[in-house]
Amino acid sequence: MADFLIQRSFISLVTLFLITVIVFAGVRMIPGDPARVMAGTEADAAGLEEVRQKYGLRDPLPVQYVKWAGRALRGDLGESIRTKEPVLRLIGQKLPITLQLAAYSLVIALLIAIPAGVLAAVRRNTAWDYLASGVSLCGVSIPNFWLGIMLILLLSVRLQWLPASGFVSPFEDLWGNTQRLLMPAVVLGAALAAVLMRQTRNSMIEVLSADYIRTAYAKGLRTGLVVFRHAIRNGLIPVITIFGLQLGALIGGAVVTEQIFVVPGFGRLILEGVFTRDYPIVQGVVLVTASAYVLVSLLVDVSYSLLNPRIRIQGGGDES
Amino acid sequence: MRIRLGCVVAIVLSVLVAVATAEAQKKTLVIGLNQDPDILDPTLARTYVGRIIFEHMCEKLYEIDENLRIFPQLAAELPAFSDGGKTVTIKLRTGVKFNDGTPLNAEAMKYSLDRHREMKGSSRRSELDHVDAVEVVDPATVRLKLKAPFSPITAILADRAGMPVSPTQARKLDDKFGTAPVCVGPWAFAERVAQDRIVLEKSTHYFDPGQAKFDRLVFRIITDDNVRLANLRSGDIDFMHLVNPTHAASLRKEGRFDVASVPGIGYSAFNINLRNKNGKPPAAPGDLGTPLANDPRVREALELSIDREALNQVVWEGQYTPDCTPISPVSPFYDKSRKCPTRDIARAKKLLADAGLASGYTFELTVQNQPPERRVGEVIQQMAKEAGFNVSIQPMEFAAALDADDAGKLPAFLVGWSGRVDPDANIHQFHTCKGSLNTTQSCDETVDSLLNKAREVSDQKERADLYKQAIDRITARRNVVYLYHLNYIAAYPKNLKGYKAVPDGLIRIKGASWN
Repeated sequence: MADFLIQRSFISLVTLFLITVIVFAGVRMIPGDPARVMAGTEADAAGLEEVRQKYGLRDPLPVQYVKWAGRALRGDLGESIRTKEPVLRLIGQKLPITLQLAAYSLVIALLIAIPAGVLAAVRRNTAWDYLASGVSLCGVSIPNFWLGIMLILLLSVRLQWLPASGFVSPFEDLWGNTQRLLMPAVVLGAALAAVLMRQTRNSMIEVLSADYIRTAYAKGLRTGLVVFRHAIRNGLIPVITIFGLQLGALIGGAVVTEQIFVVPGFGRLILEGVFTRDYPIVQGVVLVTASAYVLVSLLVDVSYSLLNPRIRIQGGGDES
Repeated sequence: MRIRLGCVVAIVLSVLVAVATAEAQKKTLVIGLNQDPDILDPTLARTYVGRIIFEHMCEKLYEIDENLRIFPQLAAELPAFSDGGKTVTIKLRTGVKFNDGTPLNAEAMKYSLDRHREMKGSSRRSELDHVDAVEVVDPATVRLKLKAPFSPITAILADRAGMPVSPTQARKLDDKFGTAPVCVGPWAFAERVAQDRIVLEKSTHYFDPGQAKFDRLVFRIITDDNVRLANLRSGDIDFMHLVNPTHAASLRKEGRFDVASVPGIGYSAFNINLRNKNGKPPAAPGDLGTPLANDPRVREALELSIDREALNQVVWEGQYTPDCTPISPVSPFYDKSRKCPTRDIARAKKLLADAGLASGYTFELTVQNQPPERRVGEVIQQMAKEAGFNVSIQPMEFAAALDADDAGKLPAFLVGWSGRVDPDANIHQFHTCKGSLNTTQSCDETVDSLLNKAREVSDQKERADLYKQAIDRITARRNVVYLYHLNYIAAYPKNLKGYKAVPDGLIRIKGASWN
């Protein structure tokens, strides 16, 4: 077990190292002089040189990387070039906002997807099925920036039911927070709901044709009881797997959604960081995100191995 | 009966709450900006949008009005020039306090000016490069010793270089001053949430408190034009900065909003590389060997193929101000007698034929990779085609295009300049032989002499005449072909009264209020 843990930890560290190197080099490969972007397009030569000196842009890339990684290992992700705020504090402010948005979207996606998917499966090849499939197709096909603008125009500009944008903390104003996150959560949840709905439908169709379901019907049970007591539990297992896989996509989708609804979350932080060549922010955000993914993967691997010793890896190969 | 009474109480209470909320909202003005400012430190700040925040919390020695006239703000009067223009004496307004309650006096002003000049990473250093020393004459007077006479100094002090910062706060926070800035202003910094909002609250120390009619100003960062517009229409913001010209007409038609439009002090133009072979000055110029660079007739033909009015109508729905000079029509230095060349395809074709290019001429025009800039490039392409030019449009990321332009790799480049109040900063560095932004490497000693002389004299009429002569020569050599001045368009509800649009495009809420 110790060998397994060491091996997995080593792989995680190498993964993390490679990710940070790729991002570090990647942001520096964006066309245009970063000093020019940082100093403003109207800065003179002396101003540009000063920026280069100040942020070590004259150093070779490996030297810049080692300096940054050294500070990051000590828990110092630096400060924003534009605003001088510590990157760690910015991440601490923004991450909970995006997580809350993602949580709302998941709830909305599940509330739409599971009833619609089950209905489409139970009423297969009826108008209900076609309707649910059609709506699902729309959910996948409509770009979220378009849907976002349309919702703002309808619910905020025309009907004036919801605020068009912004964010307030739930601790400050829970109702205001819910009002402001409703539209972005619907937009973010729409595509996910569509994917989950299709998955639920397919899975439920398969389960509903199983022998034990037929037996349940033969016993004289009503459809509702068969579906909700016997079919849905098994039908949702593949849905949960897909649901987990979609979490990453949800965080990615938040970049666009936060931009449309002016939600000051993680997505806007990284987007602004890239546009303004605020390297410490981009590197810090990527490091934190990658670390979270790597850590979760490591924990999953460890928990699998605890639950099922056959999948422990020894000497580079599977025991089984 | 008890239930009915309860209902009445609940209704009355909810009405009272709604009224109180509406009143609180009325005392707050929400302004939508298109960009998140950089650090809110007048010494280090670089962004245009940051100047909008400073307008409300960091006043300066001088200010400009709607006609670009300079008037004293924290100074008591306009500066006095002596010693042949090399000494500038500035009298300060008395009884002024920073927003932390400390006094603004000559010592504090000297501290701030020296901080702008000497602090590491200062963005004001080059602006105050002509200042040799700052002296305290008495508690209400400072004196600037200049290296040489430099009349644009007053305009420079009407921007961030003329903003005093609280020495107490600046010493305490040093280069983090921008995280909790303290200056003199009708509103004081209260809170900033990056990429979301900046909140200012009414100052308790401002010398003219009646000017701040709102208790709070909230600047919200909404980068997308369409989303900012939707927020204005839904009432989530009260004031929209930088309305897209294509939206201005529809907003006017709606009737709910006032749309203020003022020609800006900046310009849009295309540079034609004349002799930049190895980089901009101080690199030496070289012969590019192309007809566009070497033959003035080709450049004249190109300009004559362009219809500035039509360009403005097609791309900007007629909302901008066509012109052929770097000076805005609202400037007191603008030459009202100047007539811009009008489109003349026959003459353009003749000039090309005279240059031995009757069969046509092909060149590359680089544009910023943004839809509006690409549209401008395409309209120029179509217009020039009729005269015999085959213009190839090269969209490029802006920072990369600036680098390529500096290095002399672009034959022609469509670019703009945000503009400054004094014409010197809009012309000198682009057109003098050793100018720091002379990327076309154009060089004419007469132009140099005229522009240098305009820096030395302080009489406005005399300066205007010098600029007129310089612009005559610049427009004839056509290293920069000026196209139009963009208009700053802002929109706000009709019941907001007292707002005045100033040609620098910065929002000034001071004095404005709900009707």
